Amino acid sequence: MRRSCWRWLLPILLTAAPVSADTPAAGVPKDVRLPVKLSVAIYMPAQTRRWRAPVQGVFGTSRTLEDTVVSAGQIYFSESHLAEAGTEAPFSLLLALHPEIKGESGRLVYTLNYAVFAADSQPLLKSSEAVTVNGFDVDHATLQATQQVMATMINGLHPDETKYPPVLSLKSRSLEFAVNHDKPWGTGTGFFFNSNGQILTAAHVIHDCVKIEVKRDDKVLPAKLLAASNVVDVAALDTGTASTAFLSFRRDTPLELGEPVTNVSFPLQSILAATPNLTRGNVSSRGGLTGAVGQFQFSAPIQPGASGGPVVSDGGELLGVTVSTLNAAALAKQGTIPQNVNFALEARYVAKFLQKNALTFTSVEANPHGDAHTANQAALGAVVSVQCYE
Amino acid sequence: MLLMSALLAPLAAVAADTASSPVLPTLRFAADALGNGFFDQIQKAPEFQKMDREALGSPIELRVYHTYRINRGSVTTTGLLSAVTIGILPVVASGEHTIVYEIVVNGTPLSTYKYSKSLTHAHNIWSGADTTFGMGKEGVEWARSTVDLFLKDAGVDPKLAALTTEFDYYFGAAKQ
Repeated sequence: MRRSCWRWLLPILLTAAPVSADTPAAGVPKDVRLPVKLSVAIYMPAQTRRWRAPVQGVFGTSRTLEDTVVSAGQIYFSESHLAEAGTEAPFSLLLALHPEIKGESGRLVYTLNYAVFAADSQPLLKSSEAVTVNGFDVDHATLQATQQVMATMINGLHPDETKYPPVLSLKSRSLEFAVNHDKPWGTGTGFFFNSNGQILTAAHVIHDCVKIEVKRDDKVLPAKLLAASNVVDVAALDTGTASTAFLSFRRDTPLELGEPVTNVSFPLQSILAATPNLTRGNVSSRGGLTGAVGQFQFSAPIQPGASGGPVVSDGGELLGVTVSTLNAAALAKQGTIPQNVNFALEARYVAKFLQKNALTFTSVEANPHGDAHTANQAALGAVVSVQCYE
Repeated sequence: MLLMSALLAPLAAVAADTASSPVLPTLRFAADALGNGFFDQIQKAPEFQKMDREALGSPIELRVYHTYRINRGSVTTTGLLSAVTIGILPVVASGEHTIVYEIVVNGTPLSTYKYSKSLTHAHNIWSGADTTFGMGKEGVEWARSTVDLFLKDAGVDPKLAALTTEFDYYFGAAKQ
């Protein structure tokens, strides 16, 4: 009788005073009372925030990394929320988190670079915490690394509301100070489409960027977003620096199946030299994947970082903008290895985008005397690397 | 005259609904294990009648997923207490659970609808894996009820109306 009573009592006791398994308040001296009375805003690159990782345990669920870091924040600070540009609510400290993930011999090496800011744009603390976990448990690694960072914050700054009053606001302050300036979050490709120094790229290359830079040879130019359409996945940037080399659109000549094309891009910038990659191929289909609109398929090989690059005819005219490729890794798991199945947005939709946004471009008659050399020179002269900082 | 009014009223109501909730272009459906079960319910709504799991190339996608965070002020989210001597091994989850519906356009979120509820759920580890995603049966019922809330909110979302307008600008003639 006594035993069966415990059977239903125990879950109730656990609910009232649960025992921690995955969120101990590690690394803080016993005399520090948690949560510390302090309001902390947490900055993470927007794309990292949306990653979802399975949570270990019997519940078979998952959560976003933003929920993982805010969960850790609830333990250490009386108020923790994500830093959102334009919000008015004041806070005391801003914690910028920049995770890096690497797989090594079946283990996950998770490095969390961080910086803590108060009123000044110079960080009060800047360092990194590394965590290694078995398998690919990103949620657990994120939670553990974030806890270590927060414990370091408390031990290093001994923060409270007297020392750091809640006077910071992101209503009119740009989040650029919280960005990782050491290396871009992502890179893509772009090209000049007029002589005014304006550049076309894929919208997904610059989405969520706090700072955009354009690189050509050794010259780095800051770039400003002029217009973007996620529907067609195209964006226009302004460098403010005139360019004599730019690409013109081909007028009144539809794509021909099998016609040769040149693609120029700056792929894999973390491992390849910062020089343009040029590949050749053909228009292999007038359609894209099921459900796609406005795209054609081409066979010139591309790699990550090629998005936003031009697809150029042998006459040297713009035929399209590279937007995507088939996911070879995902298809390989199903036993299929795709070969050079790449997609570009047709130039006529790019022209509609520019017309909608009143941006100047030129269109020319098809050049019947062009060849690979003509295409290469036109594409190489206009192309740039686009770098996104978050 | 009265009969005429009775006949016209429903037609007017249908016209008003159509005006405020345009049919979205073909969109891809992607969801986690919980959200996958909501497909039929969402597709019945006129706005989402073109939703398709196989439309891999569509620039528009509806993502449905569950996430959670621990409750503010709570020190723990999951408790595990070995109680072998009394024959049970309960795991307790307590947190704020959120069902997220995201309309994503070429990988970029356009509109996000979140519905949250604080839930505490105990699960006996010997009874196998929990099939309620840490929410309990009542929690799963609540999660399913968020579909109607999402459809109501999406139906009056000006961003979705603007998306349809922009899609028509580019692909009006080629619209599927």
